[in-house]
Amino acid sequence: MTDRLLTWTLGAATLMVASLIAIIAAFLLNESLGMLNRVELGRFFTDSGWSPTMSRFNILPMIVASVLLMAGAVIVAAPLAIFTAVFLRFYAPSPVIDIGRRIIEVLAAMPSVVYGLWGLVVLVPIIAAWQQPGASLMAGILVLSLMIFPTITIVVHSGLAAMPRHYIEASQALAMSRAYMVRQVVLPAVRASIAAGITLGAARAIGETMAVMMVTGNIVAVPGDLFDPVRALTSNIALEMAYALGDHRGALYISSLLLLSIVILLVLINEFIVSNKLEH
Amino acid sequence: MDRITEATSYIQEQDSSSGNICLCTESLCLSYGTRAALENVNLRIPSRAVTAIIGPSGSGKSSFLCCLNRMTDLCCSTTIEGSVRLGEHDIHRDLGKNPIALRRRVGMVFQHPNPFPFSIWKNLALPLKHHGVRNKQELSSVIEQALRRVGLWEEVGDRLRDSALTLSGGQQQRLCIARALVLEPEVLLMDEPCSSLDPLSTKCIETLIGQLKNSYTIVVVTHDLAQARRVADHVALFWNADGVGRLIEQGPAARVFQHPEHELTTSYLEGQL
Amino acid sequence: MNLSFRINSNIDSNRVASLIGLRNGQLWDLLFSAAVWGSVLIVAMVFLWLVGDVLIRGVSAVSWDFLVSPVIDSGRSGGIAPVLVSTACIVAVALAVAFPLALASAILIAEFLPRTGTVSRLVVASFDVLAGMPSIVFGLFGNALFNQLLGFGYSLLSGGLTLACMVLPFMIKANVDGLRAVPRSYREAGDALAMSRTSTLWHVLLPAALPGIIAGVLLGMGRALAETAALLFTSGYVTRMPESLMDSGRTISIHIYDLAMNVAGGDRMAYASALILVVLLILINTAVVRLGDWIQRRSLRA
Repeated sequence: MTDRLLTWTLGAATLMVASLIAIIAAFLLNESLGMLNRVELGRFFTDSGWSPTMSRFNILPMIVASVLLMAGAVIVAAPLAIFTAVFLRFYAPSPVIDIGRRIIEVLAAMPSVVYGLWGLVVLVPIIAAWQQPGASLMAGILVLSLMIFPTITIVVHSGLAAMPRHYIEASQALAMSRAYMVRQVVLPAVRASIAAGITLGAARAIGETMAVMMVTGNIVAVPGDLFDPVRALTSNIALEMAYALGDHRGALYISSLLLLSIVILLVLINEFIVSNKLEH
Repeated sequence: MDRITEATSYIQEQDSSSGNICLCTESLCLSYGTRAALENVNLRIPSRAVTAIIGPSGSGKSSFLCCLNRMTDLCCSTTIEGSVRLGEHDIHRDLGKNPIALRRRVGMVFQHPNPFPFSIWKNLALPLKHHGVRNKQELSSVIEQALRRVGLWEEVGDRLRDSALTLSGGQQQRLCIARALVLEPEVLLMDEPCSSLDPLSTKCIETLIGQLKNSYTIVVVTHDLAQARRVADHVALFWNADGVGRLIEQGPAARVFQHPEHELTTSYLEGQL
Repeated sequence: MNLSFRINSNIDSNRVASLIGLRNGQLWDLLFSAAVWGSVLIVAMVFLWLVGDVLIRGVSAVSWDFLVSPVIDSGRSGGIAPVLVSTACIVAVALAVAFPLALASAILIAEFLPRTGTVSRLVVASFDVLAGMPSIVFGLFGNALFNQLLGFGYSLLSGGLTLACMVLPFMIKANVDGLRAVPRSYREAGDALAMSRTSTLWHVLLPAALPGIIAGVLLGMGRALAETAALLFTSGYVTRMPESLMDSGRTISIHIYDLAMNVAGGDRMAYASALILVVLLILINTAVVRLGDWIQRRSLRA
């Protein structure tokens, strides 16, 4: 009797939690719906600019900025993260391994405002001394790559740790050097973990708000080069939500829906990679 | 205890006269951390013949095999005393810090087939590329030759791009032997190569060992006495005494199986222990 | 036998490498190892720079007074007492709401659902999406539901509830891991004694999984402390000492952001607050790691 009560309670709680994502999507959609009825979807890409108070809703520059930031951060962080994971598994002297892993876990838990603060106070002036104005796509990419570096490292390292030991034994018995073994056997063998780490990192990069907002200058424009200021989709919401009304508010909710769908896509890709790995 | 030492020194004298010795160990001791695994092993391994290492589990057979190509280096807390000589080199002193040159000359096949999770082609090409063979045609011909030698060419020659993991257990093990052979080692170490295979594949591997011994020095660890009788030219019996592995008898297979000198050998062969 | 000859002859075939006395492969090996060490060096230096920066600039402004004084002049002087109180309230609300839900879901997932079944895969996938969702999107959702529909307005309650949604997937995962680390024999012993599942759960499994559950709470706390974007439009920015959960208030993360971005000359205090936050998170993380080690040791013993 109590068992049945328990099962029902647990079931109800889980159902509530599992449907949370649907509830969130429903709320976002509900807030956007009014505007979607009035404004054609195409206008978000074809309007002459972003001035929502004058009903011009082109969010394309911000999508471009977000994608560039994400791609740049992944390009900078992924090799560093993969090499660091390899270091911790195959190169580091044993006392360094544990400390290294713990430091990376702490870095993964560091708040984004701290990265943003460092970027704003230290990094932006350095870039500004080189190329004005400093707060730029470049600063955003660098700060984001620091933020997603621990995420990717942790995922790749756990892939390396889970790799069967006999691949290493076989490589050693075949007279392979350590570096050749890592390049030709180990990294190809854990490519699923590398891909999973990169998609997770990418999801974190595109969803990041605070650090990006603090260092990119927040000017709505498609950047001409790495040193131009940009505004990401997330920053745009954070900057304008406080005073947005009517269609303006709707447009912000629509960009949040867009963000949500990008992240869902990345998670699906990740699931696909992981489930494929299990099959082999 | 004393009897064991006596016996080994006696055997040592007796066998030192026989043929061409490829690998030999002199008072080899191995320990993992503070725990001793092997003590005072003096074994001579004749070239171009099959030496079977037999003995009950825990007698240090596999640990001994790992000393021969320095796979023991993979565990960081191992200490080795005594010497292992390959030809005129001491593999720990002369070959220095880097065991790669040694492993190039001493190949190894493991208990469980361990192909890399790549195509058949790539499994064989990886070690070749590492040692400087880059020309595609040359690679193909060496790979074909290696597969023919282990009798796999007829079975998989038309699907070299398939994953090696799609092969059966016996095929995987033969692929691993082929992979060890592409580097043309002098010695091939085999650690219970048939223990995870079915009887048919086992027979296939045993036949293969019989063919390979004309070109290679082969050391096989096995816990299967019948297999040792079938494939071995020389036999070495390891025994676990007080938790430490020792060599208690060695010699030509026919002699050891028919006229064992050590009483433990007699009872082991009769299945009393 | 002519095969080995061929391999040897090829060793010398790469001219570029042989000029500097290396085999082709050795050159690549050297480059690869250099890249590994180089990357680690770069990363270590940058992070040392970052942490050192926070430490050095922060430590000069931190004092006992800083912790217990009110915010004065938008934070340029005074301390962070009300900010700490608001932070504690928001985190407490988030954990109080998220903990029972997370524990219940975790028990269902770990103990009752088959591990590879469709239901459990769907549930886990929904948690993955939740875990990956940008925090600003949580902020918009919280604003629409708690601030507006439920009429809580900008308040500690709205902020805490929004964070509760955010930390749920992380807490669930830690709880599931904790429960799964309990040795099978405990459950079998419960069944063998003809205990009901409820009492097995209550008297055997939950006490055994306690370290995992505590780790989950700590992890959720860490997430909540670090969060900024989700709170901008739910709990608001007010620097006053809150009098009830319906008051608006800012957490320490928002305080850092506001000082750095919106207050000229706020850097010193921003760094001081950042130092406090980082130290708190490191403490929490260390505790989680300790608990994790403990769980692992025990599941190895069993």
